[in-house]
Amino acid sequence: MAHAPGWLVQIVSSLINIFALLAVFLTLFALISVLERKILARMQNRYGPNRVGPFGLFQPIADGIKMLIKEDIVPARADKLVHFLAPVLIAAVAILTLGVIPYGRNMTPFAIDGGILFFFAVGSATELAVFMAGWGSNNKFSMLGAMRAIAQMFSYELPLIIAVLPVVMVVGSLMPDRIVAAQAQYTFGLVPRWFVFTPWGAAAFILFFVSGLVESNRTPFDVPEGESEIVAGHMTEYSGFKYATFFMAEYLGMFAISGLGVTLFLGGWHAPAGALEFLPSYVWFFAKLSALLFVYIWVRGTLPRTRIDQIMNLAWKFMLPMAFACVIAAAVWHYAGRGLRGWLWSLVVIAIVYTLLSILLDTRRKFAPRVYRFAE
Amino acid sequence: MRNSNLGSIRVTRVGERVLAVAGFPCDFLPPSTDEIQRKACFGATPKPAREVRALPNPVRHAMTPTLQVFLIVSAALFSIGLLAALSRRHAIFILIGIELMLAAANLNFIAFWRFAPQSKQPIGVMIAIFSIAISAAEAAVGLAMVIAVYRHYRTTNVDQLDQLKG
Amino acid sequence: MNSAAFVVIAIFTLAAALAAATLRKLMHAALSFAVAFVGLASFFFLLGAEFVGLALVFIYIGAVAVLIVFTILLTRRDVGKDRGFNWSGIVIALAMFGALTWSILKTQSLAIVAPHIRALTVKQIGAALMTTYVWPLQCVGLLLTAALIGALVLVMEEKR
Repeated sequence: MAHAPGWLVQIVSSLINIFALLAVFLTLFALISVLERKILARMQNRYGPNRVGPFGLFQPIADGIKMLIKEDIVPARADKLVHFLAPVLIAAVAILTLGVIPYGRNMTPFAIDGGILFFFAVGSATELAVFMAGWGSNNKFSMLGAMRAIAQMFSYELPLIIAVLPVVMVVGSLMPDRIVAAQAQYTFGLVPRWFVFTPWGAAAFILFFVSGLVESNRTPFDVPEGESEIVAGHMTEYSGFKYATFFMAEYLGMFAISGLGVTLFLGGWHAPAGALEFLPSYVWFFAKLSALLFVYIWVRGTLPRTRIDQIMNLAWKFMLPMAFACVIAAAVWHYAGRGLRGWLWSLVVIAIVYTLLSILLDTRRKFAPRVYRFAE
Repeated sequence: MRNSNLGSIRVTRVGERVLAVAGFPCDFLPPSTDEIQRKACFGATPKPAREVRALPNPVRHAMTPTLQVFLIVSAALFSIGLLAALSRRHAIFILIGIELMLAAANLNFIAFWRFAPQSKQPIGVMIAIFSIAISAAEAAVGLAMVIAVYRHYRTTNVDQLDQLKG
Repeated sequence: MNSAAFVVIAIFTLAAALAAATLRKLMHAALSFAVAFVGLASFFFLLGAEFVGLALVFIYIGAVAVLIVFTILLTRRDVGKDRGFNWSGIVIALAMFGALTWSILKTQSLAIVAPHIRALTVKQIGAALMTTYVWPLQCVGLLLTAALIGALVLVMEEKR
């Protein structure tokens, strides 16, 4: 058999990687968009879309056709180039970040040495894209929505990254593959040694999850796209396929953050018990990813929207000190031996910091009892 | 996933210190396969002398760029930054020019680190990292000053900011 | 190191930097500034310093570019155009470029190709930062804190 030249093999293998990734995640996006509507509907005691296809599962096809045939309206005085490039950039960034996550054993599309740093570096370009969308629309609502979105996003980047630091510190590498490999053992063959089962890991996972909620602009933090307040924020002036691109980019960002959470804290593609390792690794990864996505949808159906100043206060006054406490707790866990003693000492550190913060940030004293003017 | 370049043999000249591995065609691989390749690099003997062509500029199979080309690109970037800093009248443009100049200097450092014989510590990379941090801090303070000046004088044209008295 | 990749990245970066320096509309110049840094990060990847390239993308495109566009937003009176361009700047920039290129081409010891080096891992950079370069690290931390506080103080509005 004749050998193809080296560069051709590389290009073809990269293309296979890319197409497989896109196929899997675009299908998942379509599925999750209809499942979210159905799950939210069930939580609100009604059926979701159930007309198109069995149980309404072909709804994304109908949505896609609708988006594609809608007229593409661009405001007359908008900056055409910037207005066009914003959804392109945001979708490109979301897809790029999907590339460094290990989906299974030997199934990382791009295994680079600074994988986690690549994820955050490329993800931080989302802010620029949101700003381009807001500014390029030449619309005050868009600009206001974009500024709120950027303020929210970069406030929560700090807790997000600092919550990842304990994991990187404990494993000693920025490569997601090594981080997954470090969670491989099972205590007594039954309980997995995932980082979420340590005190600092659990706290860091909660911080990471909430910051992920904010970064993807999901309820309760969807101030930038709250329909009752600001029309659609930075996406106001986009119609048809460009709006579908924004929508897709938001969901793909959600998948990427959830995937990273699974990799860092939930053991990646490892099975929950030693006996269950016969199932393929990607099955476990996608099972855990689906569990996290279900929690995202569940939170969306349960909690109301928070105010922008409440979001900022939460980030800077509570989550940032808590994230630093997680780093210290992880160090304590490591230096007290990584066993039961370390577990208890790091739990003590986190409990002390949490109690202190709760006392310092007590908001009960700030609100006076309500006085009704007319109803009595 | 790297190009398997043939690379070129660095010709040693009289009086130059050259690393033993500098003349060995070992691919520049990601560190996950570092251990395997390092063994292949260090274990093998360098090529015999008669295969090394003693030309001043050996024929390059893959046409790899030399250090001079990198330095010229960095000089061009520096001149463009200088152009922005000298010829624009808006304060923010001048800051953009300064950032471009700093970035060109970083490129210089990294290029020299890459092309020089390897030292124990990656000094060029360290300098570049610190330089990036410092230039980010300087950009932040500079932009804060631009906003403060704008609040006071309602203009960002540096030609009109020519009085020391507030 | 691939020469075709180098040529493409070089043209891309220099074009974006030129656009950032000469475009009339402020916002477009700021965005092409961000694009120029993408090109520069690609250069760093080509040279094998991936950590520095990623740090560049993170800091410049994720933070400094956003800062610049916010400042442009907060300091505009007329819609986005810049008045005034000093043509003597081009002469000086060309003279500088000529002088640098002449001195680079004259130095024969720079006409070397890239030696094959071991890949630089993040672990080595971290080890170097914590052992040999720990004092510069702490000083840069102090400097960044001072810059943060200073920038905030400069921009804070006085409480009435």
